[in-house]
Amino acid sequence: MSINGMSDPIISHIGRSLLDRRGFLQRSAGGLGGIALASLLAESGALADAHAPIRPLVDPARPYAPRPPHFPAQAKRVLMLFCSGALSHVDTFDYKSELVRYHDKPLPSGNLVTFQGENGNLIKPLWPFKPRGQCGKMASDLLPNLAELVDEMCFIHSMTAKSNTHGPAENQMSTGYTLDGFPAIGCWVTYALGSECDDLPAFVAIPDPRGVPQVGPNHWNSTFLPAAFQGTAFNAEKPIPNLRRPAAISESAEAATRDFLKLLNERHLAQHPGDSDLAARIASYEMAAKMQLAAARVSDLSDESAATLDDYGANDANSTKAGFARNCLLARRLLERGVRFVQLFNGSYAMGEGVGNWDGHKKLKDQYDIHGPILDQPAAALIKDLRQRGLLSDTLVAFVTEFGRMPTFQKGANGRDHNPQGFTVWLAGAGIKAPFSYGATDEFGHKAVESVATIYDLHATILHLLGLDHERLSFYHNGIERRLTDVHGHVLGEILA
Amino acid sequence: MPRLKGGKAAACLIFTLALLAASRLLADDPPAGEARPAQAAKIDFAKDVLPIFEARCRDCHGPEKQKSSYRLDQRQIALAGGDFGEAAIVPGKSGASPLVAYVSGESDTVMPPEGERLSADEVAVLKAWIDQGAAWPDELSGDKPSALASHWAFQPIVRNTLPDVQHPQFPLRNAIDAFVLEKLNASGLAPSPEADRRTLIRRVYFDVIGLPPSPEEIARFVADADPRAYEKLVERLLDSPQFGERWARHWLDVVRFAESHGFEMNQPRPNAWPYRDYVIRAFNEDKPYDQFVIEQLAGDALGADEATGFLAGGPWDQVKSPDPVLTAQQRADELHDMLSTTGSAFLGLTVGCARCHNHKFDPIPQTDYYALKAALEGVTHGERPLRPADGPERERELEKLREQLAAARARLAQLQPLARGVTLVLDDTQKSNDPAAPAVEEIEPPRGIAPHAAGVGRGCADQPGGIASLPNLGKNYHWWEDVANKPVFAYAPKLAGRFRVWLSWGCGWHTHAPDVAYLLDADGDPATTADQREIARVDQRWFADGPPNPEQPSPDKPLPEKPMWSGFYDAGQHDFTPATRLLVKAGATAAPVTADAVIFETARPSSPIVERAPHLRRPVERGENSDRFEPVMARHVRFTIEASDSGIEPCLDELEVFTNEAVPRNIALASCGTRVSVSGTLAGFAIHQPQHVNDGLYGNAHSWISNERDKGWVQLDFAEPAQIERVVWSRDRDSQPRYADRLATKYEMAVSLDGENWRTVASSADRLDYHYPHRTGNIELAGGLSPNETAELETLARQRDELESQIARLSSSDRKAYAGVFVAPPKTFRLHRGDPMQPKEEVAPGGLSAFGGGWRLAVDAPEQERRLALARWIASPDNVLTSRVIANRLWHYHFGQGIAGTPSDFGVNGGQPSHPELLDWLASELVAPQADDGGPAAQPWSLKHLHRLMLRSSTYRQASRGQPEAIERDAQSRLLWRYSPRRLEAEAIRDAILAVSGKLDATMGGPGFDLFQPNANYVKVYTPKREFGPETFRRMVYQSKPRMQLDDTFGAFDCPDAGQIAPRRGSSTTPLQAFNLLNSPFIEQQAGFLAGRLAKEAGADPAAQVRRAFELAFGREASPEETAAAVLLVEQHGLGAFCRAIFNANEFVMVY
Repeated sequence: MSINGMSDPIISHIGRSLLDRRGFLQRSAGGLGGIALASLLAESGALADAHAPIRPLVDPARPYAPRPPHFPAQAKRVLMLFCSGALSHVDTFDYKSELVRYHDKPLPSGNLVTFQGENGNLIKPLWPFKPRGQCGKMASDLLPNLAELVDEMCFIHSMTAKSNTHGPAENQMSTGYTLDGFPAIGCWVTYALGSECDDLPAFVAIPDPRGVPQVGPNHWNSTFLPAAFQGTAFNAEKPIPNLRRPAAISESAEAATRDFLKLLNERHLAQHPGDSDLAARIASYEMAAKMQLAAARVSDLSDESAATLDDYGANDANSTKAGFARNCLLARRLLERGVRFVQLFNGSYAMGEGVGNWDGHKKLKDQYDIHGPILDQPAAALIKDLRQRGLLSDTLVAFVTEFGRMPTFQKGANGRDHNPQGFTVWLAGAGIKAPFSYGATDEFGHKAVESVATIYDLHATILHLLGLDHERLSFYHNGIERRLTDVHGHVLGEILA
Repeated sequence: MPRLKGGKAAACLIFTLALLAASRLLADDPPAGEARPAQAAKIDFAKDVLPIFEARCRDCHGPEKQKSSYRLDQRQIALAGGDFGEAAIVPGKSGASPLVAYVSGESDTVMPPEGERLSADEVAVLKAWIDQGAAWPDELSGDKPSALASHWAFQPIVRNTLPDVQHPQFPLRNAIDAFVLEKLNASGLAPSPEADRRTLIRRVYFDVIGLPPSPEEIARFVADADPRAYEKLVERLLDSPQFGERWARHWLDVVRFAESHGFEMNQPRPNAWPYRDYVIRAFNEDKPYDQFVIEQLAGDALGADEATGFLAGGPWDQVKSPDPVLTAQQRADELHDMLSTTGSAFLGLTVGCARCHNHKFDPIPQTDYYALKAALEGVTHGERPLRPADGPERERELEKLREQLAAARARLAQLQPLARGVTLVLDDTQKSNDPAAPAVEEIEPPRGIAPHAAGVGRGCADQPGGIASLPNLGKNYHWWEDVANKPVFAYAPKLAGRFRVWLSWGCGWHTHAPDVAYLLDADGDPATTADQREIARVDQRWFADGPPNPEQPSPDKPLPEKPMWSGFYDAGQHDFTPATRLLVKAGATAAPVTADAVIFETARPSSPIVERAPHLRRPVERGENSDRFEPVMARHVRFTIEASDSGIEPCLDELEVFTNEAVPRNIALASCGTRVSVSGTLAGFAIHQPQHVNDGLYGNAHSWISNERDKGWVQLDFAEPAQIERVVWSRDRDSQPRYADRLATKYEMAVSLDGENWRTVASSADRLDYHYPHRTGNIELAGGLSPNETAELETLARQRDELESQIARLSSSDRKAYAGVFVAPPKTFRLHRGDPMQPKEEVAPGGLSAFGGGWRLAVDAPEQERRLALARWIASPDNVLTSRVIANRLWHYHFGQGIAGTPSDFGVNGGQPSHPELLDWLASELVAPQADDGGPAAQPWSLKHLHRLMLRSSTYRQASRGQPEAIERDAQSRLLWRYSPRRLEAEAIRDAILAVSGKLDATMGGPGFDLFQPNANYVKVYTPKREFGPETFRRMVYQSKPRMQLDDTFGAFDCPDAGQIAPRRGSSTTPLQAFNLLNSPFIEQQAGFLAGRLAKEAGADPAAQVRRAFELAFGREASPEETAAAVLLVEQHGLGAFCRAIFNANEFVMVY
């Protein structure tokens, strides 16, 4: 930009301007905001630098207003189902006949030292596998309901993570970086695209009934992105914090207070003409009022039929399962209303090893026999429900976990250690080739060896399906054009429909 | 640039010549860098080399593409290399030039990666060219002007003369105004008039101290007739202690300070707050900025311990693993956080970008990153005691005392009892099911077991013992009645050989038997008496040394008539077989007979030393265990472990072998050429490897663990035989011990000269059992010492105890700070692609070479010296970045945006400054103040001086009202045509609410308050408090700020999560903010408090209440329209509803 800021006012290095109404109005006055300009020029082939960063132009008064993608999108919204604690791929979706054959024999390449120490022998899956669906994909009995849906799924069996510790690995799966302090994928997506729904938060994170995931708010913090793109965390049991007016305040007092506030703010605005940040703040209170109603409605499951509630398991005797089922229903209701990004968590922080999540180091069979049923029926019901309602055609479902588990048992234990070198995630829905299996681990499920994929690739692909170029969607922060995928990532073209 | 086709043809001839020269070079094969033959034909770059580059390399490393950021069309990059930090071409050394290795196929990386390889001729030309010095004519360099030469922030700071400008409504109060007005004039914009006093006082209050002015302060200022009223106000606020609180919060953002560790566990850091207080104090005291910088990097050297909280202020992954890759990665990440924060906070450079490769934009080669890393390599996360103010004196005194203590300890170590044979303590309660194990047997059922009398006196339960005596090893004794002339008790030591027997019994009562016999029973069967032999007959009324006057015992007194322990009685040396038992036999009377602990000690040939007490050595412990023996020549020492305390694989952290010279040397060290071998090693732990046994490093992190339970041996082979007399070993000899398991409890130490014939010189057999309930504590044992030695031992032990308590007293501190722990730095290597598993060359501590930081310390420079050198370079007046960066930060917070818009990135990719001359003027004014700001003469590096200049300027005092034309042209007011209105930050909103409600607690410093409910989960769970007590009514800078977890009410106002640095905050508007300010329990509570305050201060009249509320919250009077609406609200829905609206008003959170 020019130093005097006069001749070239389009992009300022002042991050505040991204949510600065003055700047917004100034820049959109000519009819060409950053993104609009960029797409227009790209279409006409006139854009000199096809790699130039694209920073969406956000109206601070309507930060969740829909914004156009970089190119036509397959998916309009995302459901990311995150299994916290590292779900074992070898016990669920990554079938290895050699692992069965070499059961209780040492890993031929020698004993390994992994996260918790020495490993013992190879151990076959703890639940039997059999062919499922039309496609005959092998899946285990641990998650029988999800296994029935393999025809909808595109498995990435060659996923790899950069860390073998839950914290950094969860960070990476949700933010692209192993370190703390980077914006979550849901923040990036809503920053780019806004939302199709103006009375609910654009990005909702739904924590497990047992508690928040292991790195908690890192999954939905906006960090250096504007706070408007912070994910809002609530679930079927715990509503949005501070959503309801205090009990002591009557409805009429509430209305009178809001009227008085409006009067104060409008008078104040009249005294500060041209300061449109004030208008944005007034608008945010109006939006809050609408959201108060909409959020209460979306969380109220009483209008769901008894059959639907039963399909999900929402009235199950297992209260954790029932809670997760209600969270799944909440997810569907949010997606239905146009919420852009829903991150649904299964499993919570460590409350004892493997107690609250999928971290099965010592007694994997016992622990997963508890966790499996909590996840399986509700999650499967959610996918079927999305399909039945036609939402799956423009909703991308991503079933992820922070890393996999070893094909061996830990020495002297009956569980599997962390394995970031090969694990499975699956995608379903909009723009995804299914049934399909991409990439592979070695004969025991230990390391990804074929079409090795990274979390950057997964993120690049998710953005691509949303019509976003992961190399161009950026936010200028302290001298660096930050991206979700850092300087890495390739769209996994083979898995696209 | 010569065109490819012609060039190639023309070069043919020369190639032939070059080839001749090159062949000769190849034939001679001189080592790289050696003098080359003088007759080598000169290679011409333009004719010989450039065509090769153009033909073979240009597609990927030319003007179009630069794979790995490497290009051969620009000399500088061609020589310096691409992303990965290595020079590609080393002039004069073709053998050391990666380029040659790549194109010749001598490396794993092959260039070009596809297509035809370079011919041998071409390779030869390149080699010859490099060996001849890689001459590359300037006119062909292709170099762009380097950022170093062109980028504004990298240029010397120039103090420009002030522009000659003026404006009728814009008095030039100081240089700032002149520079600003010049730019405004140049762009045809006009400055705004000065703001009114109400606006000014609210602005300057929030800006300088982060709190609203009270209505009384406003009234005073508005009415102040003094023309310097504003200057007085500014001065008062800069002097206020609340200034430091406000500005510390800004700095804490810049340095990513938080009070929890982050990552998965995110546990609290309860002692992080002293750093926060240090920053507040530093700003309040106007600590010179250069000193502030130096202290944060090396405050431990300057009496400012808590300042280094800066270094350890970042996230820290507490989850540890035996996986060495993970461990190395975590450590690399910790140091990355420290050095990149150092780079961004002080230098405004994104140094962290050079971790994996040379910086893409700025002149920071990868090696510079590792030079900075080397400077910080010894910094680890953790708490350190804070030293009191007289620290340096105490430190000198401590040093002296520590030296004396070390000398006393060294001599004491030489006076340890010699290890010898077996010493078995057999207590009267020791039973065993193992027929081979020592045990006792009750032949007659005892009448009872009497506990020794409580106390520490002679014979009491806790008699501590001392030099040349043993402590009470038992707790109680067996006793019998009415058993005359019968064996009642048997000790079965299961020993073979000659042993001295030490007896003890229960005494202290005049009723005890005076004639108890001790018999050795050769076959162990008390029924057969022919093999029995009496070895002692004792009077069990008395202690082992008998009655005070043996000639005239007076049995009635002075016996204490309490159950006592007798101490040990020497019953002489006797022969034993495993069958031999020692019997206790009642005498002729029916008086009570007792039995207590007995000791069997390997007999020795007669010696001039009179034994006063049994020979017994201390039990083994986690820390230092010393085995001393008669000097012996040895070339090999073997330590064989036979049992451990925990029944698992034993661990040894260090094994030291000392010579018997006047100054004993530890010859076990690997650095002395000693080799170590072991029976086996527990797989998979880099920190538990054989070489750690003699690496000179103590503690679990440098140890060896056997691969067998309860077993294992370590052998040391010295470079040459030596006379040795002491072996010292330990399991976790750390200053902060953590591990006491895996301790060898049963062992043998053997020596050999030839590696075949071994002699045991020490073992655990004469040590007190590890599990023995009574420990020997700190007492010295003098078994086997001469009287002279014993006397010396006594003196030394006393000295040692005194020194230890003196040292403890002097170094005691109940205050600790999470300010890092400094350790001996390991070597630093450049890491290929930043991968800790791919170390390259060693890197010495240093600064950034392009910025006057080309200094390098020795690779083994002491830890603190490294940080000091780094700090002094950063804080040098010659550093062009340091002063610019901090001047810009102050500007950023006062004016809402920096002169340079990226306060922590002054690099090529950062924002361009709007007023570079002004920034330079400010930077020069900081380092060498010349301007008269009306106060006392400013000191160099005074931040308050810059604050004063900014706050007093006409630029700062401008009104904020928008002018449509100016908004159209410069909406951001980058050119400062007005003061930019802004929303308050989260902390200022919360503080303002408390100030207005009347509840703000102004207490400064100390541990913060918690807005989350306590819990002790492994992964800390942050559940927001729903009720707030008065302890939470302090300013928000004192909130114990967890990482990641934002406050439930104010976090949504763009509060940084402290995962990464936050040099600038956003200012978003979201509906969640509306929810929080409308509905949170905090607001509900504070609205109630404000209502109470209004009722108290304004009485019952709603109109008066409303008036007072507007004064408090907005600093102005309410208009009639506002008053009418407000009174209606108060009357219909109460004062609380009105107060809730006040806290939500735009006017409340905005500053103009």
